[in-house]
Amino acid sequence: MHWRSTTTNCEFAGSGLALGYNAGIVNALRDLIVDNRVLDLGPLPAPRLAPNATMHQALQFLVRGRRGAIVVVEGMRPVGIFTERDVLQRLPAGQSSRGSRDKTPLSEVMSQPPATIQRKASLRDAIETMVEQGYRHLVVVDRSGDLKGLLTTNDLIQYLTDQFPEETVNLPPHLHQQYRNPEGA
Amino acid sequence: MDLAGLDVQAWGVDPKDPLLATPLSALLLKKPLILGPGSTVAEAVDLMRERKEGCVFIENEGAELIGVFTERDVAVRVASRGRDPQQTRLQDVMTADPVVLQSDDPVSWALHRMGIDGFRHIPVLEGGRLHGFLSSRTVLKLLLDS
Repeated sequence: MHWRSTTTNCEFAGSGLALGYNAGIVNALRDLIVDNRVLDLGPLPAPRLAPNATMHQALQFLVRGRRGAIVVVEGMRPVGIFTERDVLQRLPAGQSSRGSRDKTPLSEVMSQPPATIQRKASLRDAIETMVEQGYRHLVVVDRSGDLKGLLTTNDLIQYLTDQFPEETVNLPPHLHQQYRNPEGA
Repeated sequence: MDLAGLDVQAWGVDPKDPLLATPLSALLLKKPLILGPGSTVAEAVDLMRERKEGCVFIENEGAELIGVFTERDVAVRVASRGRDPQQTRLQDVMTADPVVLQSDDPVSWALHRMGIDGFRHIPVLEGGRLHGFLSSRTVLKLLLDS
């Protein structure tokens, strides 16, 4: 079986989880990340707060924003980032989460300066930065340094899987699915 | 068309592609941090901080995987709800019965699962036991190597 994906104009051979499929997909993705840029991903929502917001506000925003991080900004200029990892680092094991920490300004707990990536950088550069620096979030900026979005590892994974909708949509929900009742659907 | 007529090259197979011969199990799977369901969030946080990892796995007394607890869960299920890390047990805040991969699953399946479910960490089992875990960064890293 040999076919051409309608979305990426890449050729695939084999079916389902044959090794051919596996190698074909990976090679196509490697080309894709070199040829495409951060700005090709579309909107990358960046929940943002001012440096004088409280940690309590930041935590609520972090949870509701569902992006894993808050960009701390002064106007359109990113000055820091506050991520789930920062919450982990700062959560005192010996006391409850309420208390004086509620009023701590974000400026005191954020990571600064934030790790950034240019909106015109290639996806490969973005991935390389994340992998080498150990980040899950990169603040997307333009050449003048203004905030353009927030890039997460999830955005990249999502984009990559979206390039192959036929292949991913046809895979079963559970690869090793076993049915307890042989008469079940 | 019979199999004899099949040209190996027509299958898009690159004999030099290292991933061709590599099941998930042979990739850089990370060593999982493991705690029991009765352990506290405080213990999990200490462990994650000390070992610089973003998740812990929870096993029952039979060494079976029963849950996952991540740094995201710390923010969402503990910190933002004002729960006391020292008084909260993992069994109350972990994700029970987590999605898993098997060690012989191909890389493309891991990508599929992460894309669909939005997980950053997926446990990998071998013979029903926790063998290691895959992080989204490891998956992305694979695309860099050439």
